[in-house]
Amino acid sequence: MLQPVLDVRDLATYFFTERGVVRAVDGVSFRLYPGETLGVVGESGCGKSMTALSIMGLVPRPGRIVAGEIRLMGEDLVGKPDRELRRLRGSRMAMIFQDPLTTLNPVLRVGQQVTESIRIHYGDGTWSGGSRRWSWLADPLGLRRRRIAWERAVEMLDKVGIPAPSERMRAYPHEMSGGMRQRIMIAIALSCSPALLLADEPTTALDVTIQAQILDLMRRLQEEMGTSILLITHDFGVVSELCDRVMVMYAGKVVETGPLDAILNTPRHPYTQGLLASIPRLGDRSYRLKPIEGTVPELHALPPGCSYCTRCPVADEYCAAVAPQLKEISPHHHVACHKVAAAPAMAGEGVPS
Amino acid sequence: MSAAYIINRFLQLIPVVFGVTLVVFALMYLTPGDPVEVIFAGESGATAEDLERYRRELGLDQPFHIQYLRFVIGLLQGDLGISLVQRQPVRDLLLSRLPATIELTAVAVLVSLIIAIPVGVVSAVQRYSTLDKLGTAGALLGVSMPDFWLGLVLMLLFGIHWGVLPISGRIPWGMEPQHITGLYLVDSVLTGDWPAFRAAVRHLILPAVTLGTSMAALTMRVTRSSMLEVVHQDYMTFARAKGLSGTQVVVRHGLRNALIPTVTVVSLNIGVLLGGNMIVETVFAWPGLGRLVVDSIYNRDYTVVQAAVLVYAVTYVTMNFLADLVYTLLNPKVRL
Repeated sequence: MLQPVLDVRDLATYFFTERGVVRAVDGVSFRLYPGETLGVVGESGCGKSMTALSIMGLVPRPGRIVAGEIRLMGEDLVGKPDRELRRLRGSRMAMIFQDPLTTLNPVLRVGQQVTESIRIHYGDGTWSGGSRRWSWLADPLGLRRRRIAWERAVEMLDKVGIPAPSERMRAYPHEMSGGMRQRIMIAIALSCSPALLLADEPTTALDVTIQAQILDLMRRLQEEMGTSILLITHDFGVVSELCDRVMVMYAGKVVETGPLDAILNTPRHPYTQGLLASIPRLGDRSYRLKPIEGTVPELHALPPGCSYCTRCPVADEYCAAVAPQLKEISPHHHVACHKVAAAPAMAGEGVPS
Repeated sequence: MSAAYIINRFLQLIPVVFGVTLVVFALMYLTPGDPVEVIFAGESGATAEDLERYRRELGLDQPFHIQYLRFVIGLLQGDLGISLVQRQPVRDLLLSRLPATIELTAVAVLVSLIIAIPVGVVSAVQRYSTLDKLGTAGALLGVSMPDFWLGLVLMLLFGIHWGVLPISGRIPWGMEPQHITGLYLVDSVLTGDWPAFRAAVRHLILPAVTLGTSMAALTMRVTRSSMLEVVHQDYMTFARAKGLSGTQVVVRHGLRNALIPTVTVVSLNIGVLLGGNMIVETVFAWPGLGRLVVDSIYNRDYTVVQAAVLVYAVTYVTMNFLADLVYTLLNPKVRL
């Protein structure tokens, strides 16, 4: 069997705040295989971004990973010293963020920002682009390294569809459009050919037409470079465009996971069903939106049982008392719900693509 | 930043400076006390006619607008008038004092930056740590201590109690390096006069530390608060995600963004200090502009005070202008 690029087991990331312990990520497990795209879906605050930051080892204080394993190509990242994580960040695993305007440094030229990651990983043995360990001996001033980084950066800008890339290298982020900036961010993330790309809402801040272009670009680059993508989003439209599998998160836990088709067409968890039912449809005015009532519970005061029981239409006392475990209900389709049998499959309510 | 902007911004200085001359001149004109009487105060035997003749010679019998016009025309020709007491051109007096003030300012600013920027950055990055608390408390102390008091305490400790540093003047008599720029540090290095260099440095330490402390306190607080904002920006996280270390992220991505407000504060401070710090220069008997002004006020040397105030104002306005230029260099978004 294929070795997974990313193998996360029972990951738990807690925040130790003055108001109590916030279980941002609470026992999440999943695998990501080479060239695959896994969508992570859920409302704001469900722990999807924290899952990504935990993988990168960038959980902000006062949070930290308290349990679990994160294996990147077999190597456990949890508990690794920052020195070693730094070698992997940007080279083996890369991350892109939601808002390219605030994610690119406003006072540095694009070229500096794109070459930076290539320059630091050049020669540390993680960049697949070449260079031997001791090459700096032959290049003490880093001139060769700079030139290679520059050439590679121009190549990447070209690859992500930036016109006149050598000239754009000298531009500042604010001189570009939102779509261009997002392309730059993707170029930076993929410049060292990472095996894993964590994309945190990469299209949320963009216009719809630009969104489609960026998704297209990501798909094309993925095919070309074979990168595995963990795509975090709350947009089922994006999921249906790009993902092979989907993982639905609620209050720090995985509630349902399965192949794209199964999740979109036969969702079994009431939360997933609720999410899909709350998507507006084009051209169908008779269709009433069905919002999920209530709000996400406070993460430091979760009910002992199923976190969703406060909003779930089918929950009973048993749900409130005992937390459900993920169960496989059909091949590769897992659901964490006591009422799987009771909640009928919501056939035919998938997202029109 | 375009040349047109610089020229435009520079032209804007003209009305400001013009207004300053008017205010300065009016203030001196309205000040009670007759300059001619001051001049002849020490001399017996001057008759009322003598005074009248002298007044006419100086043009003091003319109406306000004529006097002002002559003053401005003189200014344009670089003529700041004659010192009433010292009977020398005011310009020469100011120029002879300027290097001392510039030297003290430069070293004080350097001292303050060396303290303020690292402490401010570390305080922000490690917020609420012991270091941050010490830094913030130190800053509060630095802002609260009056310069004259700190100066006296340093003098007592280092000059008198321990006797390790000189407490007054720029350099001992007769040790002055050959005059090139008037800045003793520069001149002594240029001529290779190391004993003079050493003496000049030793004399500079106490006044520069005194001046630098309060400035460092202010600068540190500004740097800390702007760095605190920057630390939580997305681009800082993204830089970490590229594989940079914490220090690299702060230095390469944080500092340049955080220093933008610091530049404003520091340059305005330099503007103030270049005018000569009257208090510190008086405490340390530093022969700079500030002391010249204090002495001139005591002596009722109006023309010198007038010129000095003018120099202050122009320096301040110019520093403001330079701050704007540096701003555009640091922040590419400010396209002017």
